[in-house]
Amino acid sequence: MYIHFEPQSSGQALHAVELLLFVSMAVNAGQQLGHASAYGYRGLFAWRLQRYVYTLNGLKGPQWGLFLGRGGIVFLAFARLMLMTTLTLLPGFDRGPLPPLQGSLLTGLYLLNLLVKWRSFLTATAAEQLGSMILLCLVACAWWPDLRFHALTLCAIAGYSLICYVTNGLIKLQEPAWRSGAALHRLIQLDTYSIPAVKAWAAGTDQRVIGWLSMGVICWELSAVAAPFLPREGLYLFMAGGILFHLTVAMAMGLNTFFFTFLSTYPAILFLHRLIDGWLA
Amino acid sequence: MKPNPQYILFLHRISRCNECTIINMELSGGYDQMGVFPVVVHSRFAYIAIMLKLACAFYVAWLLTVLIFQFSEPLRRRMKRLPFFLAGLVPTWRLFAPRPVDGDLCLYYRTRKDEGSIFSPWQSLQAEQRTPLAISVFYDPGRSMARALQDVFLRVCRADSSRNVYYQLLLQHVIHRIRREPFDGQPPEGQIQFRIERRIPEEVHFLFESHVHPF
Repeated sequence: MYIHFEPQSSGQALHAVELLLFVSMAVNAGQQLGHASAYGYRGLFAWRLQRYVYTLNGLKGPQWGLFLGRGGIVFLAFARLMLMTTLTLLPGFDRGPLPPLQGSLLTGLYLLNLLVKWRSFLTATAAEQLGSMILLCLVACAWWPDLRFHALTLCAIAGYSLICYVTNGLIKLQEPAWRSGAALHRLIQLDTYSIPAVKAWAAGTDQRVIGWLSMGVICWELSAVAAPFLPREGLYLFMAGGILFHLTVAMAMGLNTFFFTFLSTYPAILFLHRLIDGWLA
Repeated sequence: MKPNPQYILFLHRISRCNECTIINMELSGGYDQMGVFPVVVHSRFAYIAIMLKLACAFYVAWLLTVLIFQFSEPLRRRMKRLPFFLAGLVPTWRLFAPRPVDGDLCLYYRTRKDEGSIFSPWQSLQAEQRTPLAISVFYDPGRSMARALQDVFLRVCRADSSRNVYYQLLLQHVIHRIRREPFDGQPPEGQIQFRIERRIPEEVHFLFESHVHPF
């Protein structure tokens, strides 16, 4: 039997993107609550010192009380979690144009997200940057309920994700250490970016095997450029590779927000694939 | 009332999408208002078509900026700190490329009672507890903290004065951590010094040593 994963409308695709992005942001907020003490007066991310990074970069401030102490980050994390829960419970993009209430909540979530980025830029990863872009696109869709604009936005979201993969593949392909696997071998033997089981496996494995693995990842990343034009089975295979890749990276390297953020772009890629399929047909 | 077929043809020509035109017609009040050729709806569709073109241009420009930003050093220099303040809207997606992290950066500290006394041996500041693998996909605060620390270490290594923001952040982090750790005898007091080393599985390289600071 054939299973179709394609969203049937731009609304369904946007709703799936939104929900998966919320999971990613909830993971991020949970982790911030987990090390909230680091945001305290004597913590690694103490605002009384960190704000000078902005001052030194020519921005006087921001010195709002919201940023002070661990209470600030706890408030921001809880507020984000509350907004995401409310938006999940209310009717989403799949039920038609969003009412102004949901639009306002989504805008509020984006603004809170912006505050979190400015407050905790030291813990921000590329996944959170992609999440920011997707969230801004969702806010735009909430305020402009035009199906053609929604379709355009989904294409843009898919484009960002695919560009991210292809860019990485290209940069890695230019570097001999990545092609030979030496860079990957070195990376997975580090305490910061690995776990004991993977380190032990890397230590006892032939460099050539890790070289093939590294080339496999590069080829998969480069194949993203063709993903929307592949037959449906090819696209599913590409996505299965992506899920496996991000899950491995999440568990072995601790980059867990990458998993959900990139997964949230997959409904958009499916939608783009469906559009291209339709045009070609 | 049925819509005028000529009008439908006109809408199709403007929007180039049959499905969307019908949906927009429903949203704008139904067929009965559009039986004759209404100028108001005509201008609305023209306005939407222009807005859609603008949105399309914006998305394409954004995509191109992101793409060029990954490869072009001059663009990165020209944008200065703007991407930082935009909080991720012009992201850096280099993800360990082209050169991956070259070793673990490790933090050590030593203490002494006063200027006349001898320093204790260098001690490693242990990393935070790891989360079990099964739940690490959903919750792993220790790892994100460890990555942030590595970033701070790199910035401290480039610091040219103890007044550097990252230097001060790390100093207070070290003092805070030492005060939280359990001690056999007297809790540490007096003065403290920290150092950063790069550890590649087989070798250790010295990178940075701080000034001596009071607790």
